[in-house]
Amino acid sequence: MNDCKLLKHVMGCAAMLLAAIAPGPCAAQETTMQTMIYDPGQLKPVDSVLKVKVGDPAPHFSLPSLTGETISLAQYRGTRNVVISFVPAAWTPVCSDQWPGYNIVRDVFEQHDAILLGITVDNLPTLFAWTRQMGELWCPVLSDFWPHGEAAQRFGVLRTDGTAERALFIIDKAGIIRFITVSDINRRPDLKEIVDALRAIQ
Amino acid sequence: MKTLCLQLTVALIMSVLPGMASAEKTPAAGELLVAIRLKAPEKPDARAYLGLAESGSFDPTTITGQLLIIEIFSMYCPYCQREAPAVNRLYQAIEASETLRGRVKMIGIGVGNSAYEVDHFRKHYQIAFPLFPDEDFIIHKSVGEVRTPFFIITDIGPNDKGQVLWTGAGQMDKVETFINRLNGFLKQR
Repeated sequence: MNDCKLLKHVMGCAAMLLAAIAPGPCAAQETTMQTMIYDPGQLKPVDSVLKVKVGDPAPHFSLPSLTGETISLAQYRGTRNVVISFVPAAWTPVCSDQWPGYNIVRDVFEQHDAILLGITVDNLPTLFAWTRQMGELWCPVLSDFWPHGEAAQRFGVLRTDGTAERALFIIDKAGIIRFITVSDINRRPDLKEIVDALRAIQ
Repeated sequence: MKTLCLQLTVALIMSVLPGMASAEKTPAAGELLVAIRLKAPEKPDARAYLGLAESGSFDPTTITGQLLIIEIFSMYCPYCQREAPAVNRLYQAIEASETLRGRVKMIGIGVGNSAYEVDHFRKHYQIAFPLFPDEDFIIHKSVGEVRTPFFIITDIGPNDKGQVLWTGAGQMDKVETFINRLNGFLKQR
């Protein structure tokens, strides 16, 4: 082994050792999800410019979902309010525990005639593997992978590295945007924000 | 060169470990629980359960009783969601036990959860013991950023107040096992 290879080998071993002893947030997930989470560290809080504002008609999108259906925003026109949850990427720390939290607020969404659509720019196989670790999600999970980030781009939440912002949009039954929040990508938005916004559009 | 590489490796590990000091602070049996401050519940029945006369902040080791079970959880953690019914059964078993009721208390601390989120978790799972938010992860950091759910049994009696007696992570033991553990600790007091 030459010096360079040896150095890489030893540093690789050190990295594995550190990964093995590093702390994480979910004990029962230790052997499953948490060991597969890639931590990008602190990121620029927001890295895009919104293209829409409250009161605008929501941009159209039609995306493939994990169930095999293609979901269009237009299909909810007149029947459901739509909460769109863009999250940056599969297998990253904050994203991995945002949607599981929404699993126990389904009743709140239903009380407000709302459906939740989860969207990332990952492809379907990635989303399939990732969301299987979350328990049974009740909301459709959509892939904005190709054309890459097109839906995120239309809303103005596609970051310069090709991931999406951590953003929430609420679209009313008339297809009008009633609420927008683009969170610091490093933090999960408070559930209360969504619930208050849903109450406000009733 | 090999020596240099090994030195570099050790240096790398040593340079990162201080930043992981939180891992060293994970509560462990025999140690004292780190200082934690919680906001007293507004509901009188929750304050009565904890033995708190007034509102304001309090140290959980001042809760009345002999043993305190602290569950570190998150509303967003699917494993905490799955464990919630088992944790409820533990609370109910304690409250149904002549020997444990009043001597063993339970609280939950929702890491990274707002007051609203903790309250939603409480309502969703009909949790009867007091839950507290740790919205900015302050307590989570002070207990070594443990994975959730994480359980701590602490002595809150007069002699060994604040001494950690047991910790456990992940899926809960059977309620009977947990109850036997509590009884065992109480016999030693």
